[in-house]
Amino acid sequence: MSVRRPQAAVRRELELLYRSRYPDFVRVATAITESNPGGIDAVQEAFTQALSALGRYRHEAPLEAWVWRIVVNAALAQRRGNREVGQPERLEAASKNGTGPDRSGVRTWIANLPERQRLAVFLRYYADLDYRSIAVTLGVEVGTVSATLNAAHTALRSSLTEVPND
Amino acid sequence: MTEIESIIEQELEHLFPRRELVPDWGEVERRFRRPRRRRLVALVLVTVLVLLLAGLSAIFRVTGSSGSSGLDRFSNQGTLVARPGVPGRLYLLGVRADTAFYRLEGRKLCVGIGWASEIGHPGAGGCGAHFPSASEPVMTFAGVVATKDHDGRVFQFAGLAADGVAKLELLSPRGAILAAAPIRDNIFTLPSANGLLLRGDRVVFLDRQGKTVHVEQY
Repeated sequence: MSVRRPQAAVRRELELLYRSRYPDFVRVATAITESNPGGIDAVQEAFTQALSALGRYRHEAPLEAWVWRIVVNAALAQRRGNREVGQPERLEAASKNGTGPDRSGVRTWIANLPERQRLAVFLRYYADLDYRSIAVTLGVEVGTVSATLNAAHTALRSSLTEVPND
Repeated sequence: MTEIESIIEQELEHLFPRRELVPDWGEVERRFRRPRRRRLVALVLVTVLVLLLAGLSAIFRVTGSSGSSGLDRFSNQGTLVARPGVPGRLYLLGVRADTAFYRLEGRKLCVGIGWASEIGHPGAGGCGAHFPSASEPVMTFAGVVATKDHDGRVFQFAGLAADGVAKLELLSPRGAILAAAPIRDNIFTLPSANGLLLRGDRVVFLDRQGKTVHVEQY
């Protein structure tokens, strides 16, 4: 059974969440939008949307997972908007220009992952979310998250086996 | 942590390193206060638009198709919803995601939508001039929000369809499928279109054979 808290209390909790997890939100949003300013803007936009939608927050799900969902959607929308106006900052480019060469091929591998797998990887490793929170964020079952990340790990393990290190 | 997980973590650290950032909650609140008025205006406009569904074709280029069966039927009659003190009977057709769908009693088929958290309170509604028919097999409700960066971003996309419409797909201008949803019991939402539906996109409605029966161009 869920307990409905007063909206003012949820609003305070939302602000605390924003302040405490801001770098993680920006990091995930930056990874999705492939743009530093885009990531920051997506997070600001997401929390603006969250404030507007507080009345529709269902207390069955943790507030943080609900917010992560909004952040991911805002970042995806931001990325799409950037591409439409011709500002693509591709993950592939980031992998080439990042600090140090992509010796393991992991960055290229991430760039080529299907979107849901890539989002799950970002949420797992940049935000340190557990499988249940990732499931709520992506709107899938927990088992799907587990299978998605396992598939991603298996694919990477295979690619590392196939490509010898120099 | 496994070796693979450790490798991924290290590489991701290189890709988008953790940065020292200062959160700006004040800006979030300013954004929240600013667009609110525009959202309110947009919601009013949306309601007006919905009531003038027959005129939607002036805004959206809509095409229909003949030859598919069931485009003039609407089988879902819904269940009666109690509304003490309000004249006319209201039937709940179903709930999809956070949207509730209604049929209003009358000679014509009049329908409405509202939030699922407020059953019995449709926020918008209308009676299609020719719905359901081969020329108007679908009735959509698209709520639009004006934001700083985009002049028209859809926050809610829902609607009702004739028996013969089985599926809808959101296509990019280049024809890539961005989102899809089945249509069951004559009602649908496209939650994944939220924030993504942009000018130039198309929403295509298909029958059970995969034949296009209706297109809305944004």
